[in-house]
Amino acid sequence: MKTNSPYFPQTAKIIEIRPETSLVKSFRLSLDNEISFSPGEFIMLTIPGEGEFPLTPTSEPIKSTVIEVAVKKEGYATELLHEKRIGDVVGIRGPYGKGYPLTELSGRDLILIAQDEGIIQLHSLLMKILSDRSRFPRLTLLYEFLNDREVVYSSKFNNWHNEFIFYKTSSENNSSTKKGIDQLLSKIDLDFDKASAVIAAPESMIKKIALSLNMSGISSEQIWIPLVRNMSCGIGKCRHCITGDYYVCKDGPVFRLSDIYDTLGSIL
Amino acid sequence: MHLVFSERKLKNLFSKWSLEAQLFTPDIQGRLVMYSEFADINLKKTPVWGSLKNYILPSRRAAFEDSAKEKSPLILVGVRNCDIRGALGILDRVFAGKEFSDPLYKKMRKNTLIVSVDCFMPADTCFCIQTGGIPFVSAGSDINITPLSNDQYLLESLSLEGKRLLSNSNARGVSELELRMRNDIRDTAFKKVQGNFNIDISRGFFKKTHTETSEKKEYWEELSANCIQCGACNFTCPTCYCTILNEVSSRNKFFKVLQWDSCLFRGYFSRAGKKNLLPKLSERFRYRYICKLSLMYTEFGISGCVGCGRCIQSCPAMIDMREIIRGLCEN
Ligand SMILES: Cc1cc2nc3c(=O)[nH]c(=O)nc-3n(C[C@H](O)[C@H](O)[C@H](O)COP(=O)(O)OP(=O)(O)OC[C@H]3O[C@@H](n4cnc5c(N)ncnc54)[C@H](O)[C@@H]3O)c2cc1C
Ligand code: FES
Repeated sequence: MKTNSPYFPQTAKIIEIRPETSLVKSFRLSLDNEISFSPGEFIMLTIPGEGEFPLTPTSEPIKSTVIEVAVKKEGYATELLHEKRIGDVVGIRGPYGKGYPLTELSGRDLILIAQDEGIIQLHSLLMKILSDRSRFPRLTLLYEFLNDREVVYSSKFNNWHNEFIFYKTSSENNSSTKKGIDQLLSKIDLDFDKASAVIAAPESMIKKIALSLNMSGISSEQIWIPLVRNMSCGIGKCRHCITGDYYVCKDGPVFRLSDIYDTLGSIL
Repeated sequence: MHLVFSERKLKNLFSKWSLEAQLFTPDIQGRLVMYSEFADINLKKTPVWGSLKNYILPSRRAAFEDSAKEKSPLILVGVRNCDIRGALGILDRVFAGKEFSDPLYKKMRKNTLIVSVDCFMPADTCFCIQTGGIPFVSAGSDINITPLSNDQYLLESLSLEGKRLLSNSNARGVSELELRMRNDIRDTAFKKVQGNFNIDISRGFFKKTHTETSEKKEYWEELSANCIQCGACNFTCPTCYCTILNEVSSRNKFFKVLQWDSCLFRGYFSRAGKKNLLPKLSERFRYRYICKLSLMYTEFGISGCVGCGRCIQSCPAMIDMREIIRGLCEN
């Protein structure tokens, strides 16, 4: 069928499936047509006849007919994706939205902070940084997880240790998560004046982590958040993702913290 | 081009149109005026149910085309200026703008010829003036009709297509006196509508002066206590365009359906992981007012409420937008 409708997906065939944890699987998809995305932009994935949901591609952001996504079992549609096998067909449209501001971030000391599955939102940015170290020479990743046995991308840890400053912490025994991040922040040695941070964590945690960063000297203008909201169209037509004066789907999903601080955890 | 038709001649004109297009005109059905296939001339009563939105953005439609089937054109008679402002100022900008324009919307829009009517007998619930509108049309439709009396109708073409529809229609030209009559009719309607509400919301509402009240939780709980979350206000509103994209593909063919949604429905703000950002009705109720009266103004430069009053008439709980705005101003 030929159509120029923005709602029409292209066919994507599952060519590889890798379990990451008991709840997260990575899927490698082969597309009919090439797409290129920038880290932090998202796609809409259709499970034919069942549902459609937003995902952040996790592969390296290059023009390709192959992309990867990592999906946590969260509910109806994501569970159905987890049941898919190699060779099954899904749909993809996008990429949409605004990703990380690569030009603005280049040359700065970067601190990426991930909690649990938040690491998925950062992965293609990590790939981009690793492929372009002359633009992004200084990188620190702080990764906190709630359960030692359920860690997404644990197989990459050795490589990460070799490539950049990488701290991980398990908050299982830590009553407050903020403490975990605080401890990590006190360990790292960098020029906070020249630093920018990205926080990929549940919304309820973002303000707390940001406060620690603020106290270290990174202002909320220099903190970026990949925001996760309800979406239906993904292209600014349905209003479901509205947050304050912004559409998460077209003004985000990556936002400057100072722009959305007041609406975290709410809509208005 | 201005032409004056007697009622009989106007009927003939409509009958002629109905041969080349699907023709919907206002029809009195009990207490309501509804669009239905042309039978008789009923142009005076406002508002007409549903709005123009029903025809250019139907409640349920395919998101993309299944086949290249061409639909016969539609002529919609009786559209009021409130609906035209909503379509031009909001719907067209969302669905026919530069970013991700929607080819099916554009097609329906192009396929729908609009014959507007000046508000001759505005309802008590009409308040377009305070939202920045006027109860008559000078642009945005193909033809505009002013009922001059029980038997005389002044038709003005406002587009090339409108001109074509009026050609060879064997009506007479307009007199100076009739043009003055039109002004008087418009003035009378204007005054009537002006008397229905006196708070200017044309530049958005919920400015700093109102935020304090607008954040009072108990206040909104009280206001929303009677709301039964039916969505009638959203669905009858000519500018509410929230939709949900339903996935109904078969094994080997993608297919999606766009359906109206309502911000009053509990699921509207739900999000993966069983979270709901606005689980309480009072919060969603407040959101609706903020969206219509503030977010839309910021985004489109016109008030999201065009003052048609349909939400007031359609609410089974008798919630009146004007009273809510008044209350916010007084508190
Ligand atoms: C920009 C963005 C990027 C994302 N990237 C990733 C990623 O890379 N990896 C990942 O794992 N996840 C990601 N997510 C989250 C992912 O999209 C959700 O986990 C997914 O939508 C869950 O779908 P579900 O059907 O499994 O969940 P469910 O909880 O079953 O359903 C979620 C969907 O159904 C709707 N819904 C639920 N209940 C109702 C109701 N009562 N009425 C109406 N609608 C309802 C919700 O609004 C939502 O759209 C991302 C989200 C966003 C916004
Ligand atoms: S998801 Fe539809 S407007 Fe953002």
